[in-house]
Amino acid sequence: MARGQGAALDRKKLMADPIMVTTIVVLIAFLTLFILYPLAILLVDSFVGDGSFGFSIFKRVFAMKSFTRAITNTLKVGFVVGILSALIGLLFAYVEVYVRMNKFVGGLFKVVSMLPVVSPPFVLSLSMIMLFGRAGIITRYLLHIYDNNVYGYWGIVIVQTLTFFPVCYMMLKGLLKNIDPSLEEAARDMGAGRWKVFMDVTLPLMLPGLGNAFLVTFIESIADFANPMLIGGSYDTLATTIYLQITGAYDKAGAAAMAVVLLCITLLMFAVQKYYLEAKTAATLTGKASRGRMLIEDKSVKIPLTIFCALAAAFVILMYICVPIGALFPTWGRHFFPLTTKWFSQVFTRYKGLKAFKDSFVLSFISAPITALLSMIISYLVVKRKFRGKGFIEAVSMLAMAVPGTVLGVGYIRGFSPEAASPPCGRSTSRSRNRPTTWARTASRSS
Amino acid sequence: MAKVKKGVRLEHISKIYQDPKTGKEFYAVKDTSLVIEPGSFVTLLGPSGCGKTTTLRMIAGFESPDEGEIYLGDEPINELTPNKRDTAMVFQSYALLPHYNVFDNVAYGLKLRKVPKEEIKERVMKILDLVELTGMEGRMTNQLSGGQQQRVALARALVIEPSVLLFDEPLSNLDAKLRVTMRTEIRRIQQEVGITAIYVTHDQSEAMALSDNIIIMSKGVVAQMGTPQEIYYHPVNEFVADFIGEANFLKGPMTGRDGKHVLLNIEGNSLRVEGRDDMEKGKEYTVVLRPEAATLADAGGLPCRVVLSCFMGSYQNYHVMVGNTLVKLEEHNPKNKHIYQVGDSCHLVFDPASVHVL
Repeated sequence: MARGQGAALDRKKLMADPIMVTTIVVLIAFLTLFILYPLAILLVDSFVGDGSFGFSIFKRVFAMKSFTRAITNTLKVGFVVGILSALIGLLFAYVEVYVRMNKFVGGLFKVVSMLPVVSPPFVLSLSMIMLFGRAGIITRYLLHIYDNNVYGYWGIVIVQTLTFFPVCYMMLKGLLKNIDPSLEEAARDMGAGRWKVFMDVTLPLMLPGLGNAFLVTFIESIADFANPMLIGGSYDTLATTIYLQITGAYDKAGAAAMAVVLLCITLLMFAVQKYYLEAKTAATLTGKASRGRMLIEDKSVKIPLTIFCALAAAFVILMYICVPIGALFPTWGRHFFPLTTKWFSQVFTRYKGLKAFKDSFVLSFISAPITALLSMIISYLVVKRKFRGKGFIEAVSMLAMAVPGTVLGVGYIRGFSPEAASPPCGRSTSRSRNRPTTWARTASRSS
Repeated sequence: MAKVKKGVRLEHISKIYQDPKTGKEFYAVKDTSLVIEPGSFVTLLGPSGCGKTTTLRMIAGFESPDEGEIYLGDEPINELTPNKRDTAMVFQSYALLPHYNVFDNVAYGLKLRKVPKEEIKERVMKILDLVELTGMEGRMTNQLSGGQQQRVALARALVIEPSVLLFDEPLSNLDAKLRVTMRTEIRRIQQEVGITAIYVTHDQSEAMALSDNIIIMSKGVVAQMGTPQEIYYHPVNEFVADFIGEANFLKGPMTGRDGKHVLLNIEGNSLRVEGRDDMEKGKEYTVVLRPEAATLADAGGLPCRVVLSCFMGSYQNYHVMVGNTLVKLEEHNPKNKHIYQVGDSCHLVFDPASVHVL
């Protein structure tokens, strides 16, 4: 009986705080409206879009060759990108945590492995095309290959790997730092060489973490819209196919069904990642580091690792340098001199001109404070408070993190645009790659 | 173990570290020379930052000495990486591999040495029996208590039959009672196996209980090396006297000599103690008096005043002032003795042979 009284008292105390109650109610309404409602619309559309309830729309989209191909394409890209990103992330993380590096070189590697996090998603696609495309500086002018096709599978894989490996790097760096150095010292003391120590101790301890990094990248990859759109060429992924289904075929029900399929894939991966691998990672790496790690100074380890990192770093740097420099060439791929600023002036005068800038900034200025505020409130409520509906807030925020931008985008188009469906403007979809979900990501990461 | 026992020799070893904040370099270990006899149990004892762990880690090969040479037996081992050294270490954090069970943890070193499977099994079982963990070989390490984990760590080190066993504060993560049990265990096993052991600790009672020899380190140098009795009864300086057990220091100039005894002027009183031949009249000396070596009486000895009198069960704890010097003492088995109260004037009495002059 004592417990009943405790719960009643807790409830009473909560109700005595009207600001808190209002916040919770508003929050629940907000989450329902902007996350659950669009997703619900998607479900409704895909099951009853043609008038009767059933799987007919799913049957129809699964009969489309382009859709099934998009599924295999997406999974193939996600798989390879996940593996490559986890490996490159591990390489950079290992070098930073384990190897004694010259300050300058170490700092450079650190910057390189963070750079893609802060750069816009399609800069790398752009550089890739400029460097390795048909008129690419490297392919055409250095290697004299005139028909290099950068568009497609490998283009997406390379660009996405470079875009997503920093996430793996940051996750794995944290885990590597948590490994108690005396575990590795003990193995070494027992007679294991450096390679043996890595294979017998470091790697097994990192396996759940690597799996985790792989899945996070996998989810990011299959949700990515901008890069496949730009460099995919005729190689369609789910995100681009869904977009084309709306903008090209005006088939909203079909797009909704496809979005539901994409959603199911990511949710499944997300569940595995969140509830299985994360728990496992925490279980193997609870040890506190008992003392500082002795950094590796052996040349036999240092030199090959430095070379690998340097190659990757050089590639990333090349990709980023080519954009500002390329903007100064009179005609990319044909005339390189004299350098000109005419493109910069055109940015502000031609096409959408200043309006594009204005739109971007306005959207950022609106979404950033909302994101920050929401994530702060949600984290606070989830971690510090006890109330009915907390589970709902936590779950929906988490859900928002797992939902690909394209899926939410389609839901928004259906849920919030007037029924007289003018072809939806592409920007809203492409922008949604990250924006609507950012605050939820921040919220669930900090909690 | 049929192996020839090996000792360890350090010759003029120095290790220089850089302070991460100020960037200044300092000696963690400075010009240290040691000889550790084969088959003996030696403890490196000292406060944190005295260089004891660094010394141990240099012997294991995790740190490289900046100056000097380390020998295992007669072989110089400076150039050898830790995996090539014939030493095995027991870590403070146990450092058991969490993804292996007890058997695999213990067998790991043997597998690396490509010992045949049958022999591995036999040797692991024998060692597990020695550390009294028979039947636990299938357990994962997180299913073991702290004491059991440390036994596994010990077994893992012993099974590869190293020439030297190294201990890096292995008991500091255990609770007080278990610490006492485990240290008896460690001593028993070391004597049974007859292996050379070097043990780092900051706990003086552990050092006393375990060691054939104690090496006291302070600020990177060896302050004193000797048996526990030598160190306790004949400390070479105030630091050692104070670090090992409780010590009172009575200071005063020497006033005269009486055979093998000397006379010192302590706070205006003449004190007769056992001296050394090299003591000179007029020079200031310090007398080390252990708390249990003195008692309070109504007459004789040094006049004093009680400032604290506290019943501790097995003894009565007194703080008395001899002039301006505070002296702490323990009156054991106080049940039927006269108990002095705070403010009482009395006399501090002790046997001239039971003190030590620095």
